[in-house]
Amino acid sequence: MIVYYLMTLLAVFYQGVSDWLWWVALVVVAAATRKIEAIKIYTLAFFAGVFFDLMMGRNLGLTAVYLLFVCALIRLLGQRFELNWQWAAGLIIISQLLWRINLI
Amino acid sequence: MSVVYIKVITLSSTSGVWYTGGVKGLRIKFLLILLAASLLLMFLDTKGILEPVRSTVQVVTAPLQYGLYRGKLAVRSYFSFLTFWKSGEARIKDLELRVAQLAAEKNRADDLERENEALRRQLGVDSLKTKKLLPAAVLGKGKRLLEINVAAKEGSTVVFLNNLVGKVTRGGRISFVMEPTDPQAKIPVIIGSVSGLVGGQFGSSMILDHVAQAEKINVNDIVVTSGEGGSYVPGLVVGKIKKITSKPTDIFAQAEVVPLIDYGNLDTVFVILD
Repeated sequence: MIVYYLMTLLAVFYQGVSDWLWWVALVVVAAATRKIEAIKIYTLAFFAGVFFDLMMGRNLGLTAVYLLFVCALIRLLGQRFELNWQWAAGLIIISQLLWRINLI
Repeated sequence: MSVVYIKVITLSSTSGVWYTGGVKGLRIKFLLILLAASLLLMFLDTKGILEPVRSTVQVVTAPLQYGLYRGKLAVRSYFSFLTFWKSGEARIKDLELRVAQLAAEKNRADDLERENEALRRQLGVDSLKTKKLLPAAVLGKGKRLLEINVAAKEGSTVVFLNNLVGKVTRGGRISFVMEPTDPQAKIPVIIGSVSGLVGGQFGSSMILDHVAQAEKINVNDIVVTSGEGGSYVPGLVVGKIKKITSKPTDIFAQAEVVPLIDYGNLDTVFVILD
């Protein structure tokens, strides 16, 4: 789990240069598709979101809500279907597009 | 980095096992608590209660961000020669021509300034006030925002060499600058004596709109802030017209405007103080 936290930290710092949630979301989604306890993943999503907002000067908590929803959705789909990383990446791309056109 | 992530996800998918055990209700409760906490944070943040926390975190993270951003600029400039060979020769010739044109224009501008100064003295009118500028280092450049290391007041105009860089949208220990290319930016402008409104769009260009069809605008015309409404300081260069996009039958003339500076290459900018 510590690896995911470190990767999230790295991804958030990278956002300082590129300002796109892509990398942070990808790390969190990667964690969500793993056989890791849900509580740990939700905690990671929450802290990743809060830290991202702190760094990027956004409304605090907004990204955490977004990441928590994505994680919950991925875990829900993962329990019902044989979800693979292509599915996860597809979901992230769709959610990013929705984010970009301000629907989320 | 992406390869590493993809490998991590691939491993999980090939195992084909998903965590379903544990107390389901507890997991849902935990998710709801975190969602509630996020919403509470959003509420407190809109009220400005969390500003001290934000400022404290930014004290620690700002130097790291600055280092990363400078590193990115250095790497980009190191590898810029890879793309230079394609258009380098033509660009040098174009720049030489522009230098010659600007030298002639500067000479004329100097003459006009002297004449202007003489007239002011004769009429007893004060000279124009010079703007007070506060230098700021760029900490990061996003798709839509520029992050700078000074505590600027919200709404302050940010410039670089008299070119508009943007407007401070969120102040604090670190300030965030909304660039003119941001879709939310609406800048009243003038092109010579023609007035219009520049708005950002997704990408690196802007759209000039609300220009009456009867007015004459041309490609390469310089677009300057008019200061109308008081949201932007007047007389700052927004960009130049790249392409006229409207048809003669349209109600308003429209044009694509490109900035004269590359916002992604700035390492220092200036905040105009009141």
